[in-house]
Amino acid sequence: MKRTLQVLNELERDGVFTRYAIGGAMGATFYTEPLLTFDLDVFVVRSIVCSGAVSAPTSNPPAVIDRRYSEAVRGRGYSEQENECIRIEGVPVQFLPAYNPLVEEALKEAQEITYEDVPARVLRSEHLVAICLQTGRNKDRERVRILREQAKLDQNFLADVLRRHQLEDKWKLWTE
Amino acid sequence: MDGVSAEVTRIFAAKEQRRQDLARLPFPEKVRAVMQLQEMAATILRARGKAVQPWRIAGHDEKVGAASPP
Repeated sequence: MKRTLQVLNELERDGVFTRYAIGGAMGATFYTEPLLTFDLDVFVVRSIVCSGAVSAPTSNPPAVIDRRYSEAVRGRGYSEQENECIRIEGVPVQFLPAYNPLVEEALKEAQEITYEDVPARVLRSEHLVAICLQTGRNKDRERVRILREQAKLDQNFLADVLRRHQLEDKWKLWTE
Repeated sequence: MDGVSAEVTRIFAAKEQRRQDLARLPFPEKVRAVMQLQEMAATILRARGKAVQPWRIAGHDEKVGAASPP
C-alpha cells in the first residue's frame, strides 16, 4: 500500500485533486482491529477545474470515477478497473468526491499520518462514525459499534459533529 | 452472562482482549492482516459465485513499524 499512497500523493501534488484522505473500512482499520475490505476508499476534494462525474446514484454516496481521476491514473500506467475502482499498485482504489458538508469537513480535518515513511491522511474516527450514521447501512451500524468499542473517540468532538450535522437522533437510535 | 460457564466467560474475555490487542497494532501490520483476511474470504466468496480479488502488492512490501493509531 506504500506505493499506492505515493501515487495518491503524486496525484494531489499534480492538482488532480486538492486533498485526499482514506476513509471507509481501511480508514476505520486505522483505529480498530483489521476489518475485511477489498477496496481502498479515498475521499477527495476536487480541483476547481474538474470534468463531469460518470454517475451519481440518488440515495447512496456517489460511487464515482471522475473522468479526470481515471485519465490521470491511466496516464501513470494504471488501466485496470474493477467495478467503480481503479487498481493502483495492486490496490483497488475508489475515489469518492466530497459529496456533502460532513464529508467536506471530514476531509478538511483529516489527520496526517505516515505509512512506512510515506505521508498520508486518514479521516478522524469521529468523522468516520458520523459518515456511517449518515450512510446508514447495516455494515455502517456494525462499524459504528466497533469504532465505539475500540477507537478512542473524542466524545466532545463527536457530540459537536453530530449536532452540527443533525445526526444526534440517529446516534441515539443506534447506540441506546 | 446467564447460562454461560466460567470457562466460556473466560474464553469470551480472552477473545475480546485479542480484538483490543489487534486494534493497537501498527497500521502496516493491520494492512497485512486485512490482506490475509482477503485471501481467506476470497476462497469462500468464490465458492459462492462472487468474484473478488485480494490485493496484489508487489512483494508484500508492508513492514512492521511506522504509523500507529493514536
